[in-house]
Amino acid sequence: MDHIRLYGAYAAQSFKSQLEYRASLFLQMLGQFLINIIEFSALWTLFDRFGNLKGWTLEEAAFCYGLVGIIFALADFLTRGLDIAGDLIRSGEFDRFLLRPRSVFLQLLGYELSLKRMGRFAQGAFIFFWALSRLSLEWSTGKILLILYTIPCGIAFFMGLMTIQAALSIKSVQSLEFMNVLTYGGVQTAQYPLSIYRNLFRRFFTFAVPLGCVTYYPSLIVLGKSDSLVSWAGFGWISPLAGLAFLGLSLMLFTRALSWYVSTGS
Amino acid sequence: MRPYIKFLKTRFQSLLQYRAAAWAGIVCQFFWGIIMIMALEAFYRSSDRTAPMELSRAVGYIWLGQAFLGMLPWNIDRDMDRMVRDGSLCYELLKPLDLHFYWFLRAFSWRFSTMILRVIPQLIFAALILPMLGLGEWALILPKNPLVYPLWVVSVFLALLLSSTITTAANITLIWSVSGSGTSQLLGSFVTLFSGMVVPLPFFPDRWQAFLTFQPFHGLCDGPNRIFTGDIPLSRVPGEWGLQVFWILFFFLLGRILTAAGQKHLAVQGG
Repeated sequence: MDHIRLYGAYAAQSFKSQLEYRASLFLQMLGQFLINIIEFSALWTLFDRFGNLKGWTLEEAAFCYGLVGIIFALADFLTRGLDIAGDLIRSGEFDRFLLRPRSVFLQLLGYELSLKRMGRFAQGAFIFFWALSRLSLEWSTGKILLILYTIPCGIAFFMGLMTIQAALSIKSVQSLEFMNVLTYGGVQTAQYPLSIYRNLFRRFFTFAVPLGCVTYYPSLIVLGKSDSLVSWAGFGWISPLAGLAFLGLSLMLFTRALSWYVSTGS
Repeated sequence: MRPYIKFLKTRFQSLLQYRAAAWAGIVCQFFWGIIMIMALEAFYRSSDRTAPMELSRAVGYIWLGQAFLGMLPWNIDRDMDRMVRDGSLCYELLKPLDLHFYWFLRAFSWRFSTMILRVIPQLIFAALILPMLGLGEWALILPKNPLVYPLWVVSVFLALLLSSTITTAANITLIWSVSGSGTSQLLGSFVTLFSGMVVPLPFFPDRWQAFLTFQPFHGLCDGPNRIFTGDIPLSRVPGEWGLQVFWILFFFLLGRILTAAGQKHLAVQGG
């Protein structure tokens, strides 16, 4: 309970400080929105040229694209502090976090809730609802609940990646840009249906880094499609849980890493 | 000319320090390139419609784009941003140099050094390592005609000059705006889209092609890449150079006009 109150206080403080520069914040959000819309034009162009992608229509692909956009934007919004943990460690500022009698992970999460990421969220939501309006899907309560629960699971997955990045930064005293391969690269990967990739790659993003579990497999159920890699049709109903498990494992790694921490001094 | 050459040398030395960051970037780019190629491959296989270029050429285009990514004018110089904010820009004004040309060299050295750090590992990976891994169909195919290489190198050099003139002009607009992040973001999205980094330009609808060829960002990436892959025949190369030179002159003059106007406008606050 105490943790939640503290986190709320951090969040409120972070919003206040960002809202001091309202005009600049708004422009940044607009910028993010536009950049991501431009990025989407790639998908639109290729569908315009080729008509379909392994049996997927533009609207179906846009559904996945929008979903991962929403998930990643929310995760990015929440995990700014984990992302810059490497910088905090190198500058020595991280030591202050350790001195406070509170959870280090919680303090990192509360470091900043980056409002400008909402531009990306708006773009993801825009494309997601555009796709929904063009697709005539057969909805059921189950499917709506599936979407609603895969979003937090997806956020947990990306938060897990960021946590691993922070843990590795603690161990190696560096900011680790190569983790971007999995975060930004993961978003890039999930923007297309997983079925278009080679099998090794699909297995990697299903069983090792469960990105597909939180975006692709639940989308298959909602869209009424099937996949050759996992033949069991019900997989998408439970696969999002892998995102939660992934976060759990990365938190264990984070706790271990803290015990190895050596300050940079200064 | 001597102070300019000295300046270029020290800039290169300091910029080439950022090797670790470059490696991380390179790994991300390999990954991005492979995703894009797998997606294109899937598109080619799912449709009977004729594509605007063969898959092997599109693959080559993607890899060249990744190799020369560092050269694109997708952002403004953070140091310039800082100088405008904290007022140290006035030291720049005190230097007995042609201000615009000096800023142009600053941009040139920046783009050149970020490019050169990435080009060689990227090209080795795309042209040599991928075939060794048995992924020959994803590899960059080198042109058989030896004449292509010198013509392409000229075009890449012109692209570098074009990028530097665009960067210089964009940097100078900082004098008018307090925060550079807005300019930077907008410039970045236009450049990545219209240079062909997001999707090779020939894939856009046919009715846009004339516009896409004549807009300035074509000469940054789309032009040189298609000369290398053979999509633009050698007979059309001089025309491509002409377009690049036109836009280089355009942005160079624009930069000079902006510099002159900016110097009049500039107000240094106290300190």
